[in-house]
Amino acid sequence: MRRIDAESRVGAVRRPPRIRRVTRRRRLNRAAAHVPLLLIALAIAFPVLWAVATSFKPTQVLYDLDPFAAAPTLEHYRSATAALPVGRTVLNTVVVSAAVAIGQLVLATLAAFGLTLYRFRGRPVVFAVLVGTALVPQPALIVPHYLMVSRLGLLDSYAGLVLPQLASLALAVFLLRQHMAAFPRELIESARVAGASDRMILLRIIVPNLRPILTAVGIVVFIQTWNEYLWPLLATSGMDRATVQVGLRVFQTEQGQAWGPLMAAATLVAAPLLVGYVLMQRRVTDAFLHSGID
Amino acid sequence: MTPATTALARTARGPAPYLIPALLAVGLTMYGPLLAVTTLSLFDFNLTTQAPQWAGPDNYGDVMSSPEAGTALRNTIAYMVAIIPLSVVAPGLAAIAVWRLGGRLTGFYRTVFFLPVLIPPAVGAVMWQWIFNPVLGITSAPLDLLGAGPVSWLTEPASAFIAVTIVAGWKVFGLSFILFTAGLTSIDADLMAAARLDRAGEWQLLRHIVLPMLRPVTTVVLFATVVFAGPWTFGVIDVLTQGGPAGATSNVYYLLYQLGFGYFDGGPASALSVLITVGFAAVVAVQMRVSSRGEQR
Repeated sequence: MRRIDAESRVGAVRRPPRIRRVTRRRRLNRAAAHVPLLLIALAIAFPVLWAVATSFKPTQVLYDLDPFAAAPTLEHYRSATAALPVGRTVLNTVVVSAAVAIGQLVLATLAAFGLTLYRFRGRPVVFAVLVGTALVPQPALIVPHYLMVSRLGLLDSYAGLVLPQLASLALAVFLLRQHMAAFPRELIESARVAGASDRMILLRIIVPNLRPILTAVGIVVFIQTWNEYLWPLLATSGMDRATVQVGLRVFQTEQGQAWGPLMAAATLVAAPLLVGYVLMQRRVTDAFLHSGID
Repeated sequence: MTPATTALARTARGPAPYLIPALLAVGLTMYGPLLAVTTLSLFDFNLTTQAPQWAGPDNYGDVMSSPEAGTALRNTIAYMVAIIPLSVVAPGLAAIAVWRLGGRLTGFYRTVFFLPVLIPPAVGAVMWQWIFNPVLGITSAPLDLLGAGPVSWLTEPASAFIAVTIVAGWKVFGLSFILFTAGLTSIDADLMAAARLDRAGEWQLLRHIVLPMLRPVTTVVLFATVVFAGPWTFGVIDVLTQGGPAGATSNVYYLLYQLGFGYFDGGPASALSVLITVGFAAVVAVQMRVSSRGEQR
């Protein structure tokens, strides 16, 4: 982005200053171009804002389109937290997402290191086996995953939630290997001449230098796992290990939705990650900027 | 130590300790289960008690001749196509606009557009469900203006399909936007400046520089749409419609879930799993082919 700013500044300097009318028209054009973008932003934010507004409306005016029809109330938050252990489900989701992210990072870093630093006969095969996991859609394996996890007695456990999600290593292996291959060879060789073991080279030289891409991959996997719905739905039954999406099902009863508490609960479970995102916005979007193409 | 002795030490230790953990993980949780589900697809069983019984290829016949599977497959493809305006076209245009405009609102747009990516599909769907609620009627006021009556979004096949697509698109939009933004930052600023010095207009820049340069990232975005939108649509379907009315919003993953864990029909569910994997792998392989050919050019 910095580069583009510099570029537009160059343009500004080079623009002949005398054509003021053109400049004004340009400014108007620019303002007009913001209109569709602001409308998109509104359309995207609206469901969230509307849910939050609803969550504070007393039940009597819930269907009133005026968000300020009555004084705001916390009644829905009280019933939401009574029906759903919000903290518990958020904690479960964080633990599972973090465990999958860290687990994939460790596995992929080791594998990428082995694939980059060593030349051996089966190398292309090993690489294909690891990156080939991209060809298998995770949801298609729910039947064997369920049989495996239930036989191991791991239903309703963190291990049962995490293990089946560890194997989608393709993206992590691919990106980390690419970055390690681009790592200056001389640095590794000189460390070796100085007597460093391969393990030390990995831990002391490569990992600290690849921290940006490691963070990026970690964030992408964390968010991917955070969004995962199907497997936690199958692997948990009570609230003990339920993730936020599974927990929300408590409000879907035969009599229809309890809209007020449901909106309050949706707000509560969505809030932690959104707040975290706003706080470290740059790093998160950068993570996706780095992971797509590089 | 000389390089020769380190090389020797390396071949002695070998890469095995670094590779084995990952190979074990994918073997136990990916390829093993894939082999298992392929075997299981030849048996009749349910996921709780019934012992497996040999069924041969019958399960495949059952799945392929069932009308539900036909509908689910058609819907899956229809979702992939219907979502493109929201998952590729609109975010692409928005990314170009934000990039060209620059300025103070850039950060704001990035933040807001990306929010739905962080809201889990079932949570986002719950928020949308409240909007689609016909009693509330928040959608009927604007529809009145267009001269249309209130729509019972989730109970009519066509509108329910549109509703699911909108919510899935809402969720994917920000991801595509960021990927396009990444693609745009790689466009050479000097090239743009030079073209502008040659008095190339905004449209010419767009047509002859920006759009051609965005071709590789567009492949990535299409790929991300297939990989992410499928599973994300599952959560949306489960909250909004449970696949109804009459299967109109089901996709292959939702059908798989219903077969395996609604009716406990393990055999047909496994057969469907194999069919999904084959189809998915074919799509991904074609896309990888296309994108690697694009890179060589």
